Amino acid sequence: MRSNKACTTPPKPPMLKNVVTFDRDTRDFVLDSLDKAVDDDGYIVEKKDKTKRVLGRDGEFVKARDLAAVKKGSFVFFKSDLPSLISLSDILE
Amino acid sequence: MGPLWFKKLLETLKPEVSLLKSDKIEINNVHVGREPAAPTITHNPATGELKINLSGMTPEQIKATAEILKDGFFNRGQTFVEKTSSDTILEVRKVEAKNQEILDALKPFVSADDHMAVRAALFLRDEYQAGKNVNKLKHQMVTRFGKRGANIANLCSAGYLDGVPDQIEKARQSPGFAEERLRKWFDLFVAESAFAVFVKAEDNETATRKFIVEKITTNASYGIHRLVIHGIGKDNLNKIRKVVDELLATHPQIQKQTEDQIGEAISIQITFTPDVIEKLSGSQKK
Repeated sequence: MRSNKACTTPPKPPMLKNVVTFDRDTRDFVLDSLDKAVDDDGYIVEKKDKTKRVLGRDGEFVKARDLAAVKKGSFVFFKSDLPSLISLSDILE
Repeated sequence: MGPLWFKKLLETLKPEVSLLKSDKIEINNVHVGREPAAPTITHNPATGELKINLSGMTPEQIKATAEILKDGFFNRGQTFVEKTSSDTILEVRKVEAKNQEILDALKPFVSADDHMAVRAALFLRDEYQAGKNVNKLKHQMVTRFGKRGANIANLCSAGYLDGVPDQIEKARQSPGFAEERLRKWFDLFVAESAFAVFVKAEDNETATRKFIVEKITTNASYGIHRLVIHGIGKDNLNKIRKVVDELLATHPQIQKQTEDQIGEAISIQITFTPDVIEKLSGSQKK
């Protein structure tokens, strides 16, 4: 018989480690440093080709105001809705 | 974090000599912000946070910082997280730590989507209890998990998930226990929650009867001709059986479809014909 204790999840540390956090008002700077920009409709686009909008993990375009995180793997954009943040929590330390 | 990456960052920004020279500086994360009149770079030894302030920088320093961040992302695998999202993740983790027992108990029996919906629902409940507006979070749950997400959020807010770990443990100890039955039980628990009543331990038999009759009447008056009655614990189990058996015996308009008992949890599905309203109101008057 499997015990409940066997599937206990170790608690995550109380702070995020090994990440670069940024304030909302530095978002464009961060995006620029990653060769991204924001188009007139507020979507994140490639700096070299502003007609090319980036895709989020859900397969939809990402509005800059909804951006929660960018992770390498080529570029993985996370949105700031709760289910996306829970997914993000699972892959951060 | 890689010490070389930070050394490069610190050298570029020319911080105070003491900070630069310290080999044992512990850096857990970097924060990029804009704070007028604050130093260009500060380090908090208690948290290990290195703060970079764009406000105080020369254009050359800003350009160099952008290059270093780019290097951190592409060559050192740094993840960039917006601060309010990072704060929300930390809050989610706190709520999950408080409710670890529920999450661990459910994990083997529910789908990955349901488990994530439970995690979101626990956070939503916590925010609601703290007096915050949760409409946006509810909307996000429905967008991501559909009607099932809304049902899980409602079950969680009403406190029905709190008894689940105890219930699962009791079910494990019961003879003939099969994990598949628990899976089906949770599935029904969520899928039918909008058409369900959850009998409370503090209600006596009369109150339970009244509660069930009212729910049947309400459902029937909106064209819903089914109801699932859930209860947890020996007293509730006996009470529900007695009330349902009595209703079945006195009202042929009501039929029992399924009865499922796992440990001390019972779920009885009943269906009824539209004329049950009239019959029940007659029997209530008597």
